[in-house]
Amino acid sequence: MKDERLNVLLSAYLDGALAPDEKLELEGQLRSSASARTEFWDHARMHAVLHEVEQRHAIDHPEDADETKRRGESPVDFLRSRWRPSWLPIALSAVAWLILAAFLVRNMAQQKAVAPKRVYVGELRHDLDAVWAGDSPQIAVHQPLKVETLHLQSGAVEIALVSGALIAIQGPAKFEFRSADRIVLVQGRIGVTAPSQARGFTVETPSLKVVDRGTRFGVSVDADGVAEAEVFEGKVDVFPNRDVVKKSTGPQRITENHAVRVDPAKKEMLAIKSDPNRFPQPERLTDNLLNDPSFEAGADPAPDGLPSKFGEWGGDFCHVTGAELGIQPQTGKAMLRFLRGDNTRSNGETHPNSELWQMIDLRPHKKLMAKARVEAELSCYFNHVAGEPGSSQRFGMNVFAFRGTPGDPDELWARRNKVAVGRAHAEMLTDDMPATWQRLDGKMPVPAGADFLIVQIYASNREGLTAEQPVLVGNYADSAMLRLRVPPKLGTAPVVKAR
Amino acid sequence: MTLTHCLASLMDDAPEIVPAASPAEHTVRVQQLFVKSQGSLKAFLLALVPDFTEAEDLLQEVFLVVTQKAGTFKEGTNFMAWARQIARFKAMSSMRKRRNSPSVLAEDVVESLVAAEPEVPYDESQIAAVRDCLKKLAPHARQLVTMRYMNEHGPGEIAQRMSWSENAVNVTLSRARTTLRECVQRQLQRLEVT
Repeated sequence: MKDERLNVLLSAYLDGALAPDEKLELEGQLRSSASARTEFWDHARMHAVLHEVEQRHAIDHPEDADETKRRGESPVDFLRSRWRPSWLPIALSAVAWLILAAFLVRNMAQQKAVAPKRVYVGELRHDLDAVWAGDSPQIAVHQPLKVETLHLQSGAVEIALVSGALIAIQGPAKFEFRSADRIVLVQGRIGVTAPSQARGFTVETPSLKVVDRGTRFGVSVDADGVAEAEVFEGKVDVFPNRDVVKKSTGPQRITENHAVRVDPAKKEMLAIKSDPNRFPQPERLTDNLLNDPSFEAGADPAPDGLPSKFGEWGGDFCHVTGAELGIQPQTGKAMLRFLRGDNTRSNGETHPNSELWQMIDLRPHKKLMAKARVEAELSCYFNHVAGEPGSSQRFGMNVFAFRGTPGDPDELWARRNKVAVGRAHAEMLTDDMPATWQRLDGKMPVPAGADFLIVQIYASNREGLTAEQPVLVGNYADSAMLRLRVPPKLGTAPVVKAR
Repeated sequence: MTLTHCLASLMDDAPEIVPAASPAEHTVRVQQLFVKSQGSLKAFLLALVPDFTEAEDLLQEVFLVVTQKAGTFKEGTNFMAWARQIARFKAMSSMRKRRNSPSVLAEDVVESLVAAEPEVPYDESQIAAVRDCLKKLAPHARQLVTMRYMNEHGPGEIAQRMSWSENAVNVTLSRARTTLRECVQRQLQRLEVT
């Protein structure tokens, strides 16, 4: 039979109603009895599950929550629940929109105070001079986002959702993430990149709902409730709010370079001219463009200097190895070991560094490069075996951008400083701890006309290798990365002209 | 598929390379693991810190630490064990600041409780069972459970709103939870049998 007294004490503990003497009594029981501790977890689990069940219910059925919770319903839900056709004549006026907007602002402030829903949806990744309104949570870069209403006064932010969607939001904007795959946009403009795992991402506005079908798109809502949706790539389905448009207006599938507008005053959804520049755009990142970036293929790079083909590692004498000399690969089972400062084509000469190259073809990325300013981001991890204190080793990276075709690799490399149209260089001295890898980063703008890149990683000792001493003892590289990045950007002119 | 991989797949002719996870990608994966595990982590925190708001705040702090320390988490290892350590540290730290409060248990008691936490998974079957059992509660008990768990009122506030004594609220809540625990146990046993 269960201890009734323990039951009462645990219940009081979970409800924050434990008196000081009861606390001592409960602690005594928990210290001395294993079964009391088991009972504690039974109670605690029920406490947590009940909270979860009831919080989910409150989100799905806000009408069941009391008035403090009902203040937390979303602005769009508010509009939906109250916008019956009999209201339409009033609601169609701009004044009514302003009144509603004012109410929604107050509604959001109340919601902030109650904060009923706390599900993490993603984090703020970039801040483009964002200024949050006083009635909004002030979100900083890398801060997680909950299900809550936000009010961005000016500037823009980029948010990465756990669903994989990336969203740029430009102020003035009022919005709320209902989950990692749904945003309610009351006012403002957003650009969305919804990759395949975020398919179905939904943007709700008072006038229309946009459901992603694998795409990049933008949505805007102005202060009069005029909403626009535009597709940059792929397609979306647009559902006009049946309380706002004529009943005969059905959902529409919108494809690339097309846009629609729903104007509550006109009660219809119209096709409009597309202009993606009006919308903010989230960052775009390519995949890692390096082939075999972590050397997991296991093959030693060809020791023949600069390779003549794209996507192959080649250079000085290097070796791909597993864990050795107290160093574990940074990722996977393999890593690169720099061996010497020469190769089969260096004619007996030794470079100051042991070098490895890979050429990258940029032609598949011309479309991306033509539309925006593109940066190449390069990173690599380096490590070396423990030596005497202060025996740090030099590691570095270079990336060069060229126009045309590579031609003869030796000739190209010899003339690189004359013919390259872009270059970035980064170097560091590593610590003496083989247990830790150190990451080196570099980036450079990629000229729009560039056709290929050459990435070089290298290792050396402090003095540089020589013909007398061409060998490195234990210098390693792993997890190299080169990506093209289009930074997030603001939209240009206002999306919809104020009437 | 990684975030960046997906972004690249939106571009024409993107190369079919499956890259090693970059630190940023790894962090996103760890954050996704957190989101999947947040029910269990919240349950753990609510046991040590039963106040809902405080437990939610701690959960947010745990998320931040998980994000900051994502690089030290090795994929394929036990995420919950790793994240629970962070949650335990956060809870203990919060409790130390309020050690004189009657709602905070002594540190040695908390340690013994943490060591005794059963490895019963926190899953949707429990959620479903509780949902079913709630329907069987007496109306007044159901109302109190709603006020306590949906509206997050404490017993004092519930007593005021219902014009009950605080003791009556405590007793009713306690009995409601006992009824629910027994009901859930029966439901889950039935599931195991079938």
